[in-house]
Amino acid sequence: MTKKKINDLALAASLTANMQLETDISGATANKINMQQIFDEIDGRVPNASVDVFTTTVGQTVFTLSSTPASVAGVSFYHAGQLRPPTDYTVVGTTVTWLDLPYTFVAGEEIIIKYNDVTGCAPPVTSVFGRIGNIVAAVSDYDASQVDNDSGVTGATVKDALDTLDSQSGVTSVFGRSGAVTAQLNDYDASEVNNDSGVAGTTVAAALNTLNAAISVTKTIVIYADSGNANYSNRRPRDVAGAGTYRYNYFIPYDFNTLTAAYIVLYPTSGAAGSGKDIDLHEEHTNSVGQSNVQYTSSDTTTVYNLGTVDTRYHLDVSPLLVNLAAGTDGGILVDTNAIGGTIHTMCMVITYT
Amino acid sequence: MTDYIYERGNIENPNSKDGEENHIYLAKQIEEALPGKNFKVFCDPVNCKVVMETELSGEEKTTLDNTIAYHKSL
Repeated sequence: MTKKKINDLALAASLTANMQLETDISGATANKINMQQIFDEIDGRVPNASVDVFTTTVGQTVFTLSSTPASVAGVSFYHAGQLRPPTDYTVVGTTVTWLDLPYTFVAGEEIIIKYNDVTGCAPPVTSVFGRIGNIVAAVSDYDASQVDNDSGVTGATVKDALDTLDSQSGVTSVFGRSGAVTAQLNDYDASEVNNDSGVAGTTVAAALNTLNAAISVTKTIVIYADSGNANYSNRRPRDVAGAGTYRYNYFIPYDFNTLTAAYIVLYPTSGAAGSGKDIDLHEEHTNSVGQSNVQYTSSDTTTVYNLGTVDTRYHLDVSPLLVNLAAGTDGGILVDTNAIGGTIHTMCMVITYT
Repeated sequence: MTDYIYERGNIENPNSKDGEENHIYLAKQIEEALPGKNFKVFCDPVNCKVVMETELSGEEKTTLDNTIAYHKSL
């Protein structure tokens, strides 16, 4: 048993009184037991001893305690001031049963049962977070999940409350980037940017399309046939007999970007109208100064055409041959009719472009 | 469509003329060599491309090769 010096005078006085009490009611043996209580009290534990006193009836074997002992081992059974060994009785809950039946109690004997009851005595604290002495709070003493949340944020614990706020924090990254995010290429498409300019369109993409449509005006150039040789009503066409040739010179303006259409306007006469008309097309052009007059050439001699109805306008499409054009291109188209059965009145060549 | 590509060389040389001083067009020569075949001819400074509507047989391809070789020799 460890010996400890008692420095607290009040505590010493209390313990002395306690010893005196035990001496009075229990005699020398009980006094020995109370020495353990003394040291328990010195250790900081509160013994909170309960004492139940019974006056026996004849043959009584069962004694009901006023509360439940903290441990069976802590129960002391005194008969006529004599501490009985634990083999003489059992303790189950609040029931103490006398087993030493060879001895039968007679009426009026005093039984004292001492014990520490469960409800009245908190288990002693021997350390806090593994630390002893003058304990002060330290980091990691508690996790957030161990701290009750009495704030207005939803959650039973502080951890729950933090999770609630985290789920509501919103932005976790911008375009897949975190940290101090700065704008970079491809963050937005034009269709994702609001247009607050004066150009029509709700988005920048729409505004650009508006402008593109405005500047992408289809333009037309018209090349008239070479000098006519007969009147055709109020017109003066270049007539080509059933078999013959005619040519158009053309120049592509410097604002050219893309060819839209190219055709020759003509009116077939009787015999030239209708299907199966064999017309050869030969084209040549030059894109810039210093190039040959046949820098680019193209031919279509196998396509046959349906020139439609007599004296009805027809567009002879020559656009398939106009490839590799550029701003400033000059060239010529030869139209060679091969016995198409009649005269055609050729009016002009039309080129449209953007 | 099947493209047959040849080096430009002397193709569509403006000095190539027939007895009547008319230009000799490659397309006309191919049309005569391969009657019934639909095609177009496009030339740039490097190559000439014969665009056939249908693929040529081996014999027809040989005819086309020979026609172009002859045209270049004019």
